[in-house]
This record gives sequence, C-alpha cells and structure tokens, in this order.
Amino acid sequence: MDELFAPPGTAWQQISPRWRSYELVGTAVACLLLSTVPAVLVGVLADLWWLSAAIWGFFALLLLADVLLVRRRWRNWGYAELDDDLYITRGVMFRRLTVVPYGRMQVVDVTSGPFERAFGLATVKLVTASASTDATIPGLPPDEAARLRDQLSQRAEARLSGL
Amino acid sequence: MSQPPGPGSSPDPQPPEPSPAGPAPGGVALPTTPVEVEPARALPDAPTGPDGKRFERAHPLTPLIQGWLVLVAIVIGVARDLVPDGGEDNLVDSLAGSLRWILPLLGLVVVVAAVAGYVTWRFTRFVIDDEELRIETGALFRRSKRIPFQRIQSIDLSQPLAARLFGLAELKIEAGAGDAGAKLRFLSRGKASQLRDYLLTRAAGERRSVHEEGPQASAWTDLSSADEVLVRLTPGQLLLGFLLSGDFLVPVLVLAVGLGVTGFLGVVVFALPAVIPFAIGLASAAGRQVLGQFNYTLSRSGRGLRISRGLTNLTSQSVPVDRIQGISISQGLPWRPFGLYRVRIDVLGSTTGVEDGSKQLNLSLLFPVATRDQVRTGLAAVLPEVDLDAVELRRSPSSSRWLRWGDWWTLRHGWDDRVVVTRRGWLLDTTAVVPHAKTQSVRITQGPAQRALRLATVHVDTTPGPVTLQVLHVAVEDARTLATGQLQRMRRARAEAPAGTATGPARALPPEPRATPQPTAPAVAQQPPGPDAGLV
Repeated sequence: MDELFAPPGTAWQQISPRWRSYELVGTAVACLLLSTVPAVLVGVLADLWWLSAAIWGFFALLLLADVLLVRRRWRNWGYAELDDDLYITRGVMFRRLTVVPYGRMQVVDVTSGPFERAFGLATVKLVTASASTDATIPGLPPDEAARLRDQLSQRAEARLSGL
Repeated sequence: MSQPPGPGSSPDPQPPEPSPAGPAPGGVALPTTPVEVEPARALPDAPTGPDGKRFERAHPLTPLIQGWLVLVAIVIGVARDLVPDGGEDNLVDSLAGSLRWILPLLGLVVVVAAVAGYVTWRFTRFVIDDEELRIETGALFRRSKRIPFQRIQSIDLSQPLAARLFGLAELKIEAGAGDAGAKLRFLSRGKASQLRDYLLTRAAGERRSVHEEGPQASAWTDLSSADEVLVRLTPGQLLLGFLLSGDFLVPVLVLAVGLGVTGFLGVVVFALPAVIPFAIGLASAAGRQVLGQFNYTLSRSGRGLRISRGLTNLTSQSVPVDRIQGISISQGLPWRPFGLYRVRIDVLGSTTGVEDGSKQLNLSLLFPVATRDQVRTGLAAVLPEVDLDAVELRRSPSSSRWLRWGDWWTLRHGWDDRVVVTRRGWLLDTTAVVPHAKTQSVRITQGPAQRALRLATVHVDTTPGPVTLQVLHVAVEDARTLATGQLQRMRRARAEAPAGTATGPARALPPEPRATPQPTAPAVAQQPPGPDAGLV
C-alpha cells in the first residue's frame, strides 16, 4: 500500500479472512437472483433463450471477476487505532482513508445479521454528527468487534473528559 | 439495535458508563430521539398537572387565525388554478359559474379547519418553567414531549400577517437532527419573545428564572433595546440581488428568447398567453425574496445571533453562535460587478426539518444578499478570531485540468489556526469555511484517474447542511500532509479554543436540574456519553 493511505507509524490491522468467503457467497447469491429473474422471463415469454444464456454468461463473468478481485479487496480493508484517532481504509479502484477522532464518535454500533453470523462475522460502525463520515469496519470476528466497541467507547469518553 | 455479535461473545453492548450527571451536553445529532414521549395521564382541562405544575395554553384566538390561514392558502391555490389559462371572457364566465359551488365548499373547509384548530388548541398545553420545557398535545392520542434545554438548536418566532394583526406569534423550537422540534402557536407576542429569550439563555447553559422579565422587543422589527444591530439589508439591495439572480434572469431570458423568436416569425400572438404564468411566477418569486426578506436584520442578542425579516410576515430566528458548524460564501457571476455575496451557515437540525423546502433554505441563510463589508461584519460575529483574507490559499496542481476542465484553475484551499477554507468556481464562486473545532472527520479519496495523475481529494466532514468542504485534486503528498495536519489542528482547536464561540467547543453545560427517571433505550446505552459537547 502506498504512503498516501498508510496510518502514521503502525501497520494496518486486517479484517478476518472469512470475510472473503462471506463476500463471495453474497455476490454469488446476488448474481444468481439478479440474473435468473430476467433470464427466465426473457426465455419463457419471448422464447429468446440465447439472450438468457447471454445474461447468465454476463453475471457469471461478474462473479468470476469478483472471485479474482476479492483477495485484493480484502487485503485493502484495514483499520488502525492510534492515540487520538481511528484510521480506516478500503477500496481497490476507488481508494479511501477515513480518519475519525475518538472525541467525535457519538455512537458505536455493532451489527451482525444472520448471514454474517453464519460466517462468524460482525460489523462495527461509527457514527459522528456528520452524515458523510462513512466509518464502517466489516468482517470482524465477534470477539474483536466487541473489544473494538468497548475500546472505542472508552477512548471516546476519555477524550471528552477534558472538554 | 445491534445484535449480539455472535455466539460466545459478551452479550449486548453494555454502556461504557452512563454519563455521570446525566445530560449529553450541547445540542447533538443523537440518533436517538432527544425527547421522551410518554402518555399523559391528566385530563386536558386540569390547570395543574399531576406533578403540581401549572400548565399553560396557547392564545384563545389561535383557532380563528388558523382558520383564516387555511382560507388564505386555499384562495391563493384556487386563484392560481383559475387565472392563468384562457381569454378574458372565458375567465369571467368560469369564475361566476364556479363561485356558486366553490363558496359553500370553501366555507365548509374553513369551518372544519377552525373546529380542528379549536380541538387542537383545547388539547395542547405546555409547561415552560425553571426546570423543564414540556408540551402535551393530541385529543385522542395524547403525547407529552419534553425537550432538554441543552438540546435546543435554534428558536424561530414567526408572525404570519393575520397573527401579527392580533399581536400573536408562533414559537418554533428546533431540537437537533432527527427530531421535528416543537411548535407553539399562537402566543401573545410579548409572551413569545420572553419565552424565546428565556429558552435561548437556558440553551446556552446559563441559569435564569422564567419569571425574570427582559427588555421588550419591538413589534416592527422584533428587536429590543438590549440587542445590537450588526447588519441591515436595504430594500434596494434585496431588489438588486433578486434582479441579478437566476430566479429572475432565467425566466426573463427564456421569455425574451421566446418572444424574439415568435416576433421574428410574426406569430407573437401565440406566445402572449405564456407571458401570464411567467409574470405570476416572477411576481411571486419577487414577493418571496424581496418582501419576505424585507428589512433583513442580523443582530447580536444575548447569547446568539438573531435574524429577523419580512414585511407582512415577520420571522425572526435565533441561533446560538456555538451551534454554527460551517459557513459558505458564494457569488454568482452576475453579482460580481456589484460586489454582492450570499452567505449560508450550517446549523445542526435546521436542514432536517420535515417541512417545505423554502423553510430549510431560510434556516440556513445568514445573508441572502450582502455587500463585502456586511459579509465581513457578519463573519466577525460568527467567527470572531478569524480573518479570512489573511488565510493563504494554494492552488491545486495544473494536472487537475484533466478532471475539472471547466474550473480547474479556480480550485484553491488553505487553512489557519482556526479554520480550513476552500474556494472554487467562477460561475458560482464559492468559499467554504469550517472551523477546526467543528470538524467531524477527515477522509482522503482517490479514484483511478486521480491515481494516474498522482492527485487525491481530501474531505473535511461536517454536519449535514449547505456547507461541504472538499479539497479537490491536490498532489498526493500535499493531500497526506493536509489530512494529518488537519487532524492535529482539530485536536488543538478543540483543546484550546474558548468555549461558546463558533471556533470553540460548546460550553460545558450544567446538569439538568431535574433528574428524570427515564427508561433508557438500548441505543442510548451505546453512545459514548457526552461527547458531542465539543460537537456543537
């Protein structure tokens, strides 16, 4: 990773490798649903089965691309807890780095849907007063998510006592 | 609510520790509702509530005025529908024909509105005393709403013409993002302005009794002897601003082109009917912008700034200075020769109002049109220690021309100890200013094209509103330096800046006097208590 998106002085903490399978299964299910409905409609109603094949083929390519890219996507997710701020980075094509000072956190949210739970994953989300903050860390093992949540809330509190 | 993160981990998130003496200070965009809604037990008639409080009611003329307002709204709506199309004879005929059934219908609607108004009035009561602000409403579904003083973001006092004639005013209390706030309509003007001053004092964290009388505000401008007028916009200025704005120029240009083309073809007659709706549209826009902003006055009043405006409907809006999150100063091309600017501010909660667009627009406006000196005076009131002219602006590198071919040479940014500034655009030359102490987070983003050009964009996030601050397309090294430097400046600004100014954190607030036993919603449990203090 280049220096633009590196945290100062530490290495990124990576998210769980299980996140890759979670993403792949998610993409596969989405592709299947999205492609099947129009493909079957086109085939049954208009008898254009070649078009259905094309639709399926297109989504199969998408899925293939995701299979090839998911490793890089996973590797580019990262977070780092520094003394005063939390750093989060993500993205392969569109890279981004979000830095949230602990003192600005209003809510630390941990969510884990049934699907995520099946993979043993949870998502931590930070909310500030700004709608554009976009600080979400997916693919954390539940223990790590809980630790992060407690740690962040504690730090948020400590940062604020001086105000 | 968050689910338990998974089997084998600690159950649901426990609160780090509920904030010691209770209140999350300073109005905050808490995702939880800042008020408690509980079923009221008392009968609406009871002059004193179950806790021995004295309840008050809005002014008894309220239903009448509400009926009148409905009538006016309908008449305007119907008239608009009837007038524009068709020739003259047609119009008179259709008017006479339709009046026969419109009038009784109108009467019925007004009666219904008045009865509804009466019921609402009868079942609405409020307590504003030294301990709390509570409003109870609803005939069938009773609601009791309590707004902590510290959550108050801004207070509007508005007087539609009909109410104004009777010396009445509506009090609107904004309580931060995610909450609709509260309305009291109508109170006598003196009472309303007294309550407003009281609530603002409490919102700023000072103790004061509701029974202390302040200086009375004037009926004409809503200013009292204690207020200091900073800027007053002249009617000529407002008119000039309107004549040079897109709202006026675009329709006029379209009309001119239309008439020119049809005139050239010799068929101008067909274009004439189109003139009428245009004229009506222009007249109503002019009315809104010139009469609605008439006598636009920015004054300093106690703990905050007050904006009052309007010829027939007088509106006055009060904002504590430390609730202002960001400022944008913009100048359209036609305004440039005249040195006019429009200034907007971010105030938490005001843009999330659920009402019509015009209201949101007005709430975020500091000056609809102002000269350079007026802007300077206004900025000095909002950001006392900042000299924007002294902030050194740097340009984005010229390689940004591939990404912003229309205005790459205008992209500039800079900062000083207190604020970060960006400026860009020539059609609409916009300067955005965000105090470091109000910054929520910093982001760097880079797309593929930017990566090829070794550029990146730095975002300085603030609360939702008209001000967005993005440093577009700076060199990669500069982006990194800017972002890390910005984080340091934010930290320092929050630690050092004097409380109670826009550049500093909101003042630490004393605990709410009355300990409210409240069933804490789980969402509340997770939030780091109190934080926001700095925030707003």
